[in-house]
Amino acid sequence: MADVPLLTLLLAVPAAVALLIAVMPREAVRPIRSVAMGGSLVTLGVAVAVLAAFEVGQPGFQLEEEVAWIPQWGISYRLGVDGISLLLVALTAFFMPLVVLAAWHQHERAKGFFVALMAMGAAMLGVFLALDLILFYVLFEAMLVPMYALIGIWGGKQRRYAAIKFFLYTLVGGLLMLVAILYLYWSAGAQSFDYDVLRGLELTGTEQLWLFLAFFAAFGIKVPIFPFHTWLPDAHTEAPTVGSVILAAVLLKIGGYGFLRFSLPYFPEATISLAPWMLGLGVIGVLYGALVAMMQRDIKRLIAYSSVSHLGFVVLGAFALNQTGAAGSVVQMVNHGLSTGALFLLVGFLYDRTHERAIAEYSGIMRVTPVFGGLFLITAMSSLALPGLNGFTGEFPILLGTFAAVPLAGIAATLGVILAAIYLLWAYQRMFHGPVEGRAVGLTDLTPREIGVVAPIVVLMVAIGLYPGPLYDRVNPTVEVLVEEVVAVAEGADVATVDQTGDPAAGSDAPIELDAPAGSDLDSADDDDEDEEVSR
Amino acid sequence: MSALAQQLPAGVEIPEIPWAAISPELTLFGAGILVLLLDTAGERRRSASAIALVALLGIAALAAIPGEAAPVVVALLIGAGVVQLALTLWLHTRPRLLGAVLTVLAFAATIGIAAWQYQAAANGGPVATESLLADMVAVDGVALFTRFVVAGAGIITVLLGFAYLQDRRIHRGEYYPLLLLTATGMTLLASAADLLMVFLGIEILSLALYVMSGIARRDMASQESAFKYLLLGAFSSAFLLYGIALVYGATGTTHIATAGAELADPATPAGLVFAGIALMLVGFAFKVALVPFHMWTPDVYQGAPTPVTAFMAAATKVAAFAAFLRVFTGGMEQLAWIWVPAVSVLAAVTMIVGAVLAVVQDDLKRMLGYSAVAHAGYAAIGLVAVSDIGTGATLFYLLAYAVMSLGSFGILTILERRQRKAIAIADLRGLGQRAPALAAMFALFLLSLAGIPGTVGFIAKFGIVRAAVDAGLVWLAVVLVVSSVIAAYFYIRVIVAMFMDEEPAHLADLPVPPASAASTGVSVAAVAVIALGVLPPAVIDLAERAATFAG
Repeated sequence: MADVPLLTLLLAVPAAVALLIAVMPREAVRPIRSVAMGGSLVTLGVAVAVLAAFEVGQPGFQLEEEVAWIPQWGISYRLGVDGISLLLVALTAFFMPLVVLAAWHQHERAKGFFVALMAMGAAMLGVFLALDLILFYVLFEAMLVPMYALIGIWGGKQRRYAAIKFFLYTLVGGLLMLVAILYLYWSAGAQSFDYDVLRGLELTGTEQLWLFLAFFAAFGIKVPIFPFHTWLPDAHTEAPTVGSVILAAVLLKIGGYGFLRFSLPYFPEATISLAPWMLGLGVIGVLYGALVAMMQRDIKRLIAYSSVSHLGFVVLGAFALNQTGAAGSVVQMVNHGLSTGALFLLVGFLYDRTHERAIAEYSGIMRVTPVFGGLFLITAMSSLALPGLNGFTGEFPILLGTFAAVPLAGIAATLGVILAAIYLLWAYQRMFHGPVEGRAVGLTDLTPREIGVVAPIVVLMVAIGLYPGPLYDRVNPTVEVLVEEVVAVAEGADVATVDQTGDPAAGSDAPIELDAPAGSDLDSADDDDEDEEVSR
Repeated sequence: MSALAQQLPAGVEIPEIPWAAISPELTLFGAGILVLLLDTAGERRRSASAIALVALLGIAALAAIPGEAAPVVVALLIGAGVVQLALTLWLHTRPRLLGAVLTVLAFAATIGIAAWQYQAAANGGPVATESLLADMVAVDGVALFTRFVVAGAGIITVLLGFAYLQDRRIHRGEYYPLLLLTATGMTLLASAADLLMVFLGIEILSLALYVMSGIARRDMASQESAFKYLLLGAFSSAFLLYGIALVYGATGTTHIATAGAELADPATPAGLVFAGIALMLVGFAFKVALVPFHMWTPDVYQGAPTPVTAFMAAATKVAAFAAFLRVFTGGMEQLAWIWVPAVSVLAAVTMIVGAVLAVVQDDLKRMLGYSAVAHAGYAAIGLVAVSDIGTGATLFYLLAYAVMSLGSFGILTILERRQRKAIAIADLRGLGQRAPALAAMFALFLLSLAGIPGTVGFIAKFGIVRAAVDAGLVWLAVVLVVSSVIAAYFYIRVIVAMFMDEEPAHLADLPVPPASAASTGVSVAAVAVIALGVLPPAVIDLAERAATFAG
């Protein structure tokens, strides 16, 4: 097992499938989608193998691979997974066969569509696995092109505008990050872009501040953090269903991932001094997203703004600077991927039937299509963090972590949960209940294929909701080390910058204490999980 | 030869002629003359074969002259002579095809010779890397690298042009000789170790290019392009020559390295130094098209026949930059404090102005012309870094730009053949559906020009930024980034038109361009864009090792 380059395989399979489809004749729609499905399933299989090979309880990188790429410039091809990336990799691979199935009846320019989809998969997996900053940047930007094509070619009426906006926003952020990466390289003097080499740099406070802001430009736009979120509703609304799903389920996670992977460990001082601001932006994101979502008339736009709100929680968790919050933030990324991905899929199925996204055009869908209504309800409940479903298992620890860091922020963010219940249930009530009217008349229920797309996600929602232990087992060790590292800097730094975490002396203890309430039901799960490990 | 030497007055030395070192120039020049002569025969079998036979004999005689030439060289030379004779006998009824084939072979031979020279130089073999021919020529890394790029660009240009010129009825016999002559000028310019050779190289390459850009005699735009290029070219040559004269006046030499050292001597009159450098700078800025000396570029690029534009963009830029590098970075390193600030500002302004003006263009050739201006600005950053890293980065950038521009102008030649007119952005609507492979390749070139990772454009820009940061010129790196974002907008606009707009009816009726020599050339460029974008180490190595100047 150890000899197989699993991570390279994980990238190579979708990339190879993309190339294979590119040389197939474009009339061969059926073979093309079969190849795409086969490739996605193999990718998922490799991801499962990675999950199995991952050693739980070890904080560092695992399954590492390294080959010199451009040795003259100190650039290498280095891959690895740890607790932060593992789940996101699994999430990406999990969604690949689902989106292929969701796009099963994509006949319009099917060849290009599946090439873009597979290329996207390879690049996204690569972003989570890359441990060389240039490799990371290359894959980060490489995602841009297929996503841009997905929105711009197969999107809605305003697709050109949305696609160009998406492209330019992301490009600007990425280039600023590139300049920061080069600065790191230059100041490292080590002539290397290796993740670990650059992690050990001694940077002054001012340098850290500027570099943090440059990385923030890339990741903040990706998350997206208020006020850099304006590209997202456009992109989401105009993208085809599959594009929205990829965007929500995976692509936006790169922002949160980037914060945890790069911003925190690379610039701890800047992180600590800017944490209050980041928390503030997170809270604004949570509340603003929720309030704007409430006002939407278009169901897809509503979900897009709910994304802004839910991802605000990810920012809160990451910058609460305690283990509870950070681990919650990773799990929240997975959960948001599942629930928002499923919501976009369901809305997509509805749109396929009626070509109408206005909430007001629907009424009483539940009576016409009970299966659709039921799945939508479960997904909405998961999205609004109903205990017992997955959403809760991420948002609750984040709220706890945030409350421990800045109580006020925690309280304000909790409002976001309430608002989520309001906008989702209100929309649900308007669309699914009441007399059968408008476009709901004559609606057909989900086909087996469509159920097959959403069912696996719903199964995971319930499974994670009831039993999140395995997730936390994998995330916690890595996050613990990360937070300890940052907090250690806080202890050495000015007390003034630390006061939001309470007593600085308690800084290092805080995460452990905080873990208790968060993990009360998780801890019990841990024991069970150990048994599982043995049995495996 | 010794008899000749005895007749000369004392004090005049006959320099030893390093045949091996200048063999690429000789090959290109000889092939140019041969193709020109063969063209005079038209389709007449007897005249053509007579010319080819004389050429064979001439080549055989040439093989004998050096006397001590290795048997391999003699065999190669005679082989080349036989090949051209056989080709002439076979293709004499199709003189244009014969010209094209011979031109391609000459360029291929140049690449082969350059590869051998590179190998030999790396192993300390018979090709010296110091100045030769009485210090007139230097076959160093920069020169060799330029030979590769120019000859490669030449081959692709021939592929792009053949059917295009035929269609436009401007496939004249002098086209291929001119192409070979301008390439000779370019390689000569890149290996000039003396300011006079720089001037000669520029003149040889320019004179041929003036004619080539005006080869569409009935097309007003082409005539305008040729005329503008001639006037502004003469203007810039005058600046350069005046600068050279002042440098000579100040130092008493035109040898680049010696003059550079003399200029740096505080005893040299400062006025002459400043004026000489400034005038030469203006001359070079014209040639490589730095703002504000870029005015000719869009007009000339737009008006010239597209394959000529492709060659101009790809090869002229390399050769001119090679000389620019040699004179400034190589020769006047100690005077960097004078010219680096000036060139830095020019580069910054060029990057921004080029990108901004390209945004508002509708005609694609013009847009790519302005984009060429912006790219000259990027390449100039490696120059002002004044380091081996910078020189290597500029050389790699020029190679990358050559590939990208040949590819994109190549696509335009194919499209112009199809639509029989200049291509505006609106003419590309729906191309992604109509001709997906062509559109995909164009998108690839544009993304590469924009510097998106996975393409050679990214690697090249990365090298430039690295050189800039290394030299402490972070601000130039930032300007490059800003310019790239602006530029991305107009490249993306083209991609939007190709893939996201509906095809208008009048375009749908046109036939899809079939596979042709031009599409082969474009495909080669596309493969290079990806290959160099994904696995560049070998070529980066080549470029970095080429960052040497002979003394």
